Amino acid sequence: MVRLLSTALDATRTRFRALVAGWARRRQGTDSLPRTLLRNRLYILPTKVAMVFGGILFVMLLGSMNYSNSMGLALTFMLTSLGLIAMHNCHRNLLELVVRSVSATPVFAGSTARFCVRIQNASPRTRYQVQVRIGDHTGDVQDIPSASTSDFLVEVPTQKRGVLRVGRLSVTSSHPFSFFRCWTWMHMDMECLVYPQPAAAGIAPPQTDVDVGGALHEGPGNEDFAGLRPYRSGDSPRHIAWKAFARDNTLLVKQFTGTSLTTRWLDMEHAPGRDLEERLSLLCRWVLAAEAQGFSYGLRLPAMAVEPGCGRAQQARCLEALARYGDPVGGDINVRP
Amino acid sequence: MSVPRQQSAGPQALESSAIAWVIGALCMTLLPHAPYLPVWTLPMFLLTSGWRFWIAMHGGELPSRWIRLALATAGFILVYTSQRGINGVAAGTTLLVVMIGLKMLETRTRRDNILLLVLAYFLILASFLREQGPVLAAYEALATWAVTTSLLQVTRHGRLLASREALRIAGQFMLQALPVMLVLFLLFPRIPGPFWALPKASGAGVSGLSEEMSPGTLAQLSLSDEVAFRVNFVGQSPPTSRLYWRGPVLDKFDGRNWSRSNWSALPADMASLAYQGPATDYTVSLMPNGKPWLLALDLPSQPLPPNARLNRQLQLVSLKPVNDRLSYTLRSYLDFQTLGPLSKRETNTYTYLPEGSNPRSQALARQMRGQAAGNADFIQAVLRKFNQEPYVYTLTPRLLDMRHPSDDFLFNTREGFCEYYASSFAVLMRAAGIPARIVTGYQGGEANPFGDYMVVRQSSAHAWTEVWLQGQGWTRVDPTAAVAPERIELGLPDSLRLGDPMPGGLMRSVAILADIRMAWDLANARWDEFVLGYGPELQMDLLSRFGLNMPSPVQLVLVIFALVGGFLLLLTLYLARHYRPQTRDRALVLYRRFIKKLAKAGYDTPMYESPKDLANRIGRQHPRIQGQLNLVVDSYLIARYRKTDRYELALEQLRKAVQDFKP
Repeated sequence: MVRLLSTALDATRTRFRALVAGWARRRQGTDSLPRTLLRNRLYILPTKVAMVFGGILFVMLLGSMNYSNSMGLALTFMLTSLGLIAMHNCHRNLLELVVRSVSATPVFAGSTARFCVRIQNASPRTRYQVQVRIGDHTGDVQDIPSASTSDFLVEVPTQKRGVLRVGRLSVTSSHPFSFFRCWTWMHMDMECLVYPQPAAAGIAPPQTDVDVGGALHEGPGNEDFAGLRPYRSGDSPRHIAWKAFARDNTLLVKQFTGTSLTTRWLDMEHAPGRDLEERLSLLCRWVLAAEAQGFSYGLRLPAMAVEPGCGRAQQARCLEALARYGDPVGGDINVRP
Repeated sequence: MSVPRQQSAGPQALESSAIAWVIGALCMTLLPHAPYLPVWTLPMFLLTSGWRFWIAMHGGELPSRWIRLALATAGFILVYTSQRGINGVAAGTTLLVVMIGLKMLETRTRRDNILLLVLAYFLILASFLREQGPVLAAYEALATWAVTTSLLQVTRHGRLLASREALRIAGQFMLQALPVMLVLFLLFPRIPGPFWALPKASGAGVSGLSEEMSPGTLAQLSLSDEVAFRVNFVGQSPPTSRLYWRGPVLDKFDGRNWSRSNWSALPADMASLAYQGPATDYTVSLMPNGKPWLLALDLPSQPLPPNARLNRQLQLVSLKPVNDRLSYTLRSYLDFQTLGPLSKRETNTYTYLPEGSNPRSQALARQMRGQAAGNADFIQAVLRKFNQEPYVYTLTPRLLDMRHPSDDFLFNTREGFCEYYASSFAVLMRAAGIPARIVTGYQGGEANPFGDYMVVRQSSAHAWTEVWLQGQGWTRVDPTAAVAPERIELGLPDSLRLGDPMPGGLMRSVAILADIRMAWDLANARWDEFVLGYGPELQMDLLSRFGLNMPSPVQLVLVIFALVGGFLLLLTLYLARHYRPQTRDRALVLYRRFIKKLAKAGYDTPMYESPKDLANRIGRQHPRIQGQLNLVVDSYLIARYRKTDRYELALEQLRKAVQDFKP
């Protein structure tokens, strides 16, 4: 009976929250960044602490009136107005903060996605106890000093490969005294790429698909040594002539022409696995391995391909292709259709 | 969808600094209670909170549930036995303090800390049930600040604020709260209590006259500098020597002590009173004395204050004990006579002496009465004896032999305070068959030179006698006046012999200190009258001054809402100013004003556009304002970026350009 009741209560609460969420969404529309938190989007409600405090104030009021105790009344009224002032300052504490950006670096499935929300406080007053919340996930509570910007990290665990979509986040604070909670909702499409979880090392990519290139190519490549040139920032450390550095103490970079003789095509066709996800995991491992070994590599999936290349950008392209393959959803948080 | 909530669920390790704040706030609120608590309470609190703090610092386990339960039971029993119950302010406070001490040992979460601080607010309230003086009020204001700061600290997530910053923020909130508090204090509908039976006021701390008198009772009271009551006279106040403030009448003598007989329970026969001479009108504001006694100049007449009556012994009594400051207006006649005969039973009461008590006094009385021509002559003879023989008036007499105190006093020690003289005099009278009784009360009073009132302190406590004479009725005889006339003429302090302890001590002996003392008393009197005495009457008075005659509670609440709302609006504007981002560059401020003007006129002013581009674009579209645009932008660029020695000039040019700019 009790369980039935609590289930019913939970259901009601969920429905109510969905109603409120829908109402807020319709009211505020989709947000663009940067977004200043103005009065029309700040909500404030008393907390349980305030309820208890209010009850105690009532007892104090009755007691003071009963004893006709002037100082008791003065204390009671002082605390009452302190509550009122707390409400005012709680709201003021978030007002005119600016949410500048929301970003998230891609992660592998199974690890934690970190959404970084950058909030600016242009005012000459510190903003206390600000917290960012995404769904049920909360970040650290921080004070934002005057005229400065703080980054709020919210960690969201991931399980599935795909795109983790977040439709709403909230910025909240209950400074001072935790009497009131003031918050705002931001509605926008935020996403975090979730790469497949790399399969355990073991199965190596088949060597069959090695493409032999070489002398035909002109222009800079990374196969045939063609001399040394001074280091420019951005050059791969792998190409630095360390021997020359040890000798002359000058950073020189080895120059090559032509592409790798072994451009490796990583093809889904060749990745064994029980299902798609396992094969993608294996491809993910291959991409990482190829990058680590300094190969030039390309990725071939049914109906699409990533042209060969190497470096961080190439790895990111490949992993994104894997993440987005088949347009899966890595998880939705507060996303409304 | 979920309402955002701070994460606070589950027990979490409390920071030692947060606990230190809680302990500090509690200590501060406990301090005013210290003198009234059983001696073991405070050490117990310090022990448990020290234990808790040690655990917070060095780690370790909180005591188990069984230990806590055992301690709680022991604490409750201790309180119950030492306070004889848990009702009443004193016992309630003790229990509160003990439970706070024990709560320290199970403080795990933020919520526990909050609870402790709420209890600290309660302790402040409890201290006001005992006393409400301005010094305590000031102290408790500081304590409220400390508790509020602690509350700010313990409700924080993450690191605490620096103490100074926390104090500053909490202080700001309290300052912001002050106006709203004042509005509520002045306008909140005051419903005269009590709604439920008041627990008996704690007897401790209330000093004053009592139902009994033995040698030394009044001498002890005389050392107290506490205010008994204050008086405002209408017109000139009578001379000090005539100010006899009548209190309880003691007529039952057991050979040693004087107490009240049942005659005090009967009402006075108003028809038997003949008032004479000029009337004296005055208002008394009486400090709580815990007894149903109202002090009045001998002798008050009709109309008496509400809920007050004269009893058979002509003492003004009220229906309820005076547990709060009480103000009443009276008309007294310093000259009066009681008419009519004394009943047989009354005569018996007033001439009764226990068999065999004070035999030498009784013998002396009979001998002197035999030599005297009449009762009046006899009385004069006794007074002459006090005056001419080496009797001494002192606050520190030798102890009397309590078997026959009157004998010992009259024949051996011959030194004493007013109750010694009054008591012996009454014994002598009764021994001679003259009805006599002792009247206790106050004599004299100090006029406050700063305020137009007189203050009467406990140190003015006095005892005198009344004898019943045929044809005259009850007649006041003050034997102390025979020994030490200066006591009656000048008041107590100036009448004491050297080396006697003196009420007020040093304060009286230095003129400037005496002035300070009087000024302080004035402050106290005003505080009592306007702050503590602020109730339904003063509230109506205040409101009628603003044109609100007899407003209903609903009207009052509406006025409160209007005032508080108005104040919050002002606060919003004030805070808006303080949160406004500060731009140091005056050129930028002016340029922003220009942009605002443009935007208001409907022009597009995207943030990414440089001033030059903006001027060019809008100028091309609207050649009418091209010149103006260029003027503003050019002077802005000069003022902002070409920081020359002509900066002020450029700025002035920009100001004018922006001002004149009409899109």
